[in-house]
Amino acid sequence: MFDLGTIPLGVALFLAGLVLFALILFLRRVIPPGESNRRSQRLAQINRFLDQIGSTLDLDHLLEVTSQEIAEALSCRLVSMMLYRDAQLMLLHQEPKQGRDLSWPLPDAPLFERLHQSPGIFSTMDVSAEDSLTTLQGFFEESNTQTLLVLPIVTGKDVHGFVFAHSEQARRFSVDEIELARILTNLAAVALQSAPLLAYPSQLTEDLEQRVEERAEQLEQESQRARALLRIMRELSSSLDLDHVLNRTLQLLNDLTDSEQSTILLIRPGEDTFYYRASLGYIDPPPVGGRATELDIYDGLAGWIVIHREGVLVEDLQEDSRWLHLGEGLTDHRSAMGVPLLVGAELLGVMLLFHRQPSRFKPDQIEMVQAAANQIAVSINNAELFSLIREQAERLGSMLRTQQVETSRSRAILEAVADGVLVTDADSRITLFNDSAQRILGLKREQVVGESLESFAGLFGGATQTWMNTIADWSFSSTAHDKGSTYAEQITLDDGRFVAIHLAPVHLNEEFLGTVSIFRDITHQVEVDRLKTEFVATVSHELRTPMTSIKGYVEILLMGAAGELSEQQSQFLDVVLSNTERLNVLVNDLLDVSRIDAGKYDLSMQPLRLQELAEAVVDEQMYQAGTEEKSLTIIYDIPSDLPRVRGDEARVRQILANLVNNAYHYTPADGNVSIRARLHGDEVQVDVIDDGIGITQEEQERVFERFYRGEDPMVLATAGTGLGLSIVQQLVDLHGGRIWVESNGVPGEGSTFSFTLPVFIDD
Amino acid sequence: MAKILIAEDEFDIRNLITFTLRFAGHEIIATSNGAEAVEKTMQMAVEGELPELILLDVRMPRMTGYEACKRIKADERLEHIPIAFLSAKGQESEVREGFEAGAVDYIVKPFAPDQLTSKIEEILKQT
Repeated sequence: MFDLGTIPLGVALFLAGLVLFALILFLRRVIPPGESNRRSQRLAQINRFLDQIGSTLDLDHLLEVTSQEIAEALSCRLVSMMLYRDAQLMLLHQEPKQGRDLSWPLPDAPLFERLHQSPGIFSTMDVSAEDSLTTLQGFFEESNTQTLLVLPIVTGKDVHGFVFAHSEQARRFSVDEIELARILTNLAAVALQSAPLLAYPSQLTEDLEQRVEERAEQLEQESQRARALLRIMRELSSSLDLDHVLNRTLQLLNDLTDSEQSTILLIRPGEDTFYYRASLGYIDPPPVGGRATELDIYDGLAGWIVIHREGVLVEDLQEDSRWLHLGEGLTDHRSAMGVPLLVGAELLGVMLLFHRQPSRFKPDQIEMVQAAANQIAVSINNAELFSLIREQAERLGSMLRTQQVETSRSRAILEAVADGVLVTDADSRITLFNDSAQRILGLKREQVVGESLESFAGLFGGATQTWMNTIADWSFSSTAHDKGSTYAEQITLDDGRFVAIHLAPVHLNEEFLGTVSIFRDITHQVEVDRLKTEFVATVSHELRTPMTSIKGYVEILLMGAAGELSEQQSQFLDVVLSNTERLNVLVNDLLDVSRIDAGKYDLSMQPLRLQELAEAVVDEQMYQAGTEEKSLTIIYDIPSDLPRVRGDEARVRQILANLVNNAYHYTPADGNVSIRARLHGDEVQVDVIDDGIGITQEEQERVFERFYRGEDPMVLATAGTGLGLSIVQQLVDLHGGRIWVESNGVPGEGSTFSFTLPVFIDD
Repeated sequence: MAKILIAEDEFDIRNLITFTLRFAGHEIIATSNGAEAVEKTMQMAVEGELPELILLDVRMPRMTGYEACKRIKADERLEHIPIAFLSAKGQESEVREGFEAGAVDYIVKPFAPDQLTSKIEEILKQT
């Protein structure tokens, strides 16, 4: 039967409308208005019929309307409509409606065959007499038919069915009646045909239905997979806790593929065994974060996937010789499915699904599992990246915190120290100015921090000019300083206070970061030093005054100016005099020490001829030897072309005299003392050599200490304070030279005291 | 033999110098501080009996030797008289100050009497 439901309704209506419109135009032209009344009635009936069939595409309605119109046109009692369905003629409608189900097949009849051959009108006034209709006799008897008019439903050469007009009596239809019925039938034929024309062949329809069903099923599967993948992706992106995410994902995969066990094995860079990262099912899962295994990355099912980088499906692991090497005694596995975890070309590991029964997985699942694996691989990769970044960030954060703590601690220390601290950056801009600096320099931090040092030339006072110039030099010339450079100065501020400045450049690796200046208010120390020096000067003066009297009067007595002295009186007065001399040496030494300590030794540096100084010292010593009647040889060994040295005449003479005097005292009678000078590079080395008592190794380390005097009786018998060599050492230092002693400590082999002085260079 | 004016506040030392120099044959006019020395010198100038050498201690009450030296050197009648200091203060700065005040010599105490005598002879010879 017609199945309008399978025909696109819009198309059918459109085509039917087109056909009907053409027919109406045709009919209105061949049958013009103004003819006879009967003709007008026929035309009216056709018009009505056209209106009716034009307003419907419903087959039943069409059949009903057609049969009603034909019954009216032929004035007959019963009209039957029958159409071919799959080559079978079916009775589809009768007008008026009969009290039974329609749509039943009619037996074939020779008449139908004949009408197929040449479609035309068939009419008989006695159906029972027609041979070509014998097979339908039952149908005619039932409908009590005497006269029958058969109108074929034809379009072109195709016969789609027939219209039977029944009559109980024998009657003859007029030509007009037949003509009208034929027009109506043809119109109906067009209307009826328009739908089937567009219908697909029913076979095709069935194919389509089947394909649509299959496709729908596929779509449903695809949709399920897509939904599953979506859930997996959602799970994978739901958290940054990889363990949690992997467990949830494996659960989804197990559900989706109906597997009992899923496992993720990773390959870690540089390692040749798998890392057991996650597992869900009947095998014990690894601890959070995973654990190492002893399973070689090229062994077993997982190894196969690593080598081939593709998914694999195994119906039964126990039947497949390739997978017998299971590792870790995991013999429960039967069905297996495995896919590589790939990110781009990088293989992160494998994912394996198992079931304890064989043949549980289907080949079409691999694709989806691989898709899930790709997402998992991306997630693992992301998690590792995230973890790497987080570790890096934490490390950096930790370093930053440590540095911040260090910085604030350093800053707190810098702020808290009693010394003033001023820090400049590489552009000589002030970056730190602590409380003490504020106090010492009398400036507010707000005035200076962030400003360039040059803008404060006036504020810091005129005495700071050299210091500020040094900072500027260091800041603007990389060659003006090195790591060891320092600068120290004592300045007097405009208000009379004394400030010691220490300046050093700050380097990080090779980069110059700026400078640090330390200010110390030394006004008090300067005052104390002044008082101390004054005290020492006063004391020495006070000591010298009585000494002057004692020494003077004793000498007058010894001169005999106050009368003759007995030999014993002279001896005793000599003892008084030598002890007075000893006191004098002590006072002079104390004065020297206090002045050296106070840094108040004014050296007036000039070119000196050592030859002359040494000669004078030797002469003095020989004079002393003469007066003391000590027999001693002093050897003078200084080349006449020795260059001049740079030094303070009085002090260099003091150094020479001290050493020669020591040699004289500690060399027994008839000994030898040499004074020798030689040029070594840009300095002159002076050696004072004796063959006296010598100095032991232990004593050598102490001879330059203050107040240290040896244990030798010869030393103790000599007037001395133990300050002489200490003063000499400091004087040599002040000249930029070095002093040392050499002796093997053997009496008679003596000692050699050596010192150096820089050669004078004329600027 | 010369006429020498000395200024020394310490009695014992003043006597020692006086004794030593008189023993060497000089005429000694002894004063006990700078102010007295300046006063005596001026008085001697008025009398036309100027000393040929003045020996001044440095640290003295009423007027220091430096100050006395400056005052004498400031008087054009007296400025030609050589002045030497005789002091227990022997630091460079002190010696320098003495020379700056106009002294021809600076003898540091304690001194040996014969050294003092020969030093005085030296100064007198130079002038």
